[in-house]
Amino acid sequence: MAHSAGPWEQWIVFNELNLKPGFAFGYLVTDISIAWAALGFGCGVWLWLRLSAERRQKLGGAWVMPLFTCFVVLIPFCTLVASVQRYSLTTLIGVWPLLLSDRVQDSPWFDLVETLIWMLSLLMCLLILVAFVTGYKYEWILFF
Amino acid sequence: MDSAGNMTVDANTLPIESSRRWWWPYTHPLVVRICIVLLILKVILGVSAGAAVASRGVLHGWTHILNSRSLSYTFGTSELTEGEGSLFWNIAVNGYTDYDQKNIAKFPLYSAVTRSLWNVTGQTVSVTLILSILHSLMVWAGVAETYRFWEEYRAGYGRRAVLWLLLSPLFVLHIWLASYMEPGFIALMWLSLTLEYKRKWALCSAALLCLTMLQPSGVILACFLGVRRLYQWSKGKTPLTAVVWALLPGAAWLIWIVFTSLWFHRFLAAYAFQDQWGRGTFRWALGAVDCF
Repeated sequence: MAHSAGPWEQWIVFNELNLKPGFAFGYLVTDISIAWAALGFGCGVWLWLRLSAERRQKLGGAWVMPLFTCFVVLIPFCTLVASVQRYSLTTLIGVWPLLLSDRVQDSPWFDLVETLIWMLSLLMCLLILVAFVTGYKYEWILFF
Repeated sequence: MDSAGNMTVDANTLPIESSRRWWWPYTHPLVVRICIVLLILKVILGVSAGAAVASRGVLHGWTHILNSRSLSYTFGTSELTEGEGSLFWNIAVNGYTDYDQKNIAKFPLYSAVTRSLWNVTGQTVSVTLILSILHSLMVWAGVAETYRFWEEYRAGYGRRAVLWLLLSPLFVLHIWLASYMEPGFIALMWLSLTLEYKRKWALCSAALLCLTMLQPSGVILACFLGVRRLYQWSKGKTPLTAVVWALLPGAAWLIWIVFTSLWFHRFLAAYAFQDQWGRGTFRWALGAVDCF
């Protein structure tokens, strides 16, 4: 049987690959995105449990989305870090802030925070695309 | 009731969806604007990256490590089909054969549709261009179906859900620009859940079937929704036909798995070959049980 690393070894390998082309920005992007995925899973499931039964029904049933998220993201994440961002986007993790309470979401401060996160994300994405176009894509961009 | 005893209906009290055609999110101004912006970004990225590659005279991406036949480099669109896209390009042109067995890890829907369109054009149109157009259609569907699902969940959430998917700190904007299948997966996932909530059992199962044939993880959602229907049927909340329809995506997945396992003489070939893409998904989880 071939050697297969656990999740934390995989993460180290993943980050080392990002640093290999001398592109430390990739390291930053990797850690923020994986931290967001982990936060999204934890918060998403917790917020789901606090939703009313009626709202859960509108989101596909009592337990469908948390279980789907677990099977698509958490289990593969335990075996391989690569591509966790892409798979996260196709689950509850991608939109977990929408499960926050109405009181939080209706606050103007929340609008501001949300807009700032989107602006920063867009900025980072544009930098990633510039890196992609200019040739820094080899080792790390393929892992996304 | 009016004074003559006839039933009257106030248009303002009707459910939102009853006054709209099914395609309403596809023509919503916000969805259209976002898709146009993404298309412009995609062309800028594709042309500039294509130019950068052409100036170096080197074909980048995965195409140079694949055992491929009949792949031709097309300036401008080739970079749009880098990475995942180059795999679908390869499968659409060459099919699943022994020349590169690990391609079987990619499920067939995206490549099959590309191949079909290519054949319809008499194989005269660039495959990369077809992939790129198909991807743009998936982006449109992905944005529209996300908007529909969350706007019907609560007014005002549609715009925010779309922005969370596009500008997520997961930094995956590129899947909306290059030929990844995720926009299609996102479209079919939210469409399935919308149809399930509206109790359109057959249509929901058809969407789940497409989801399953697009990406291996699609069958997981189909399985959970199937179990949910079974549970609700046992409580008398859904008809038996809903349960029968739920078998459709699972049956298609099973047929595909058995067929490909026999074809490639390898148990669960569609999953086992993930390992050759450097994805030992099943190895670590199963520990010492190296059944693949």
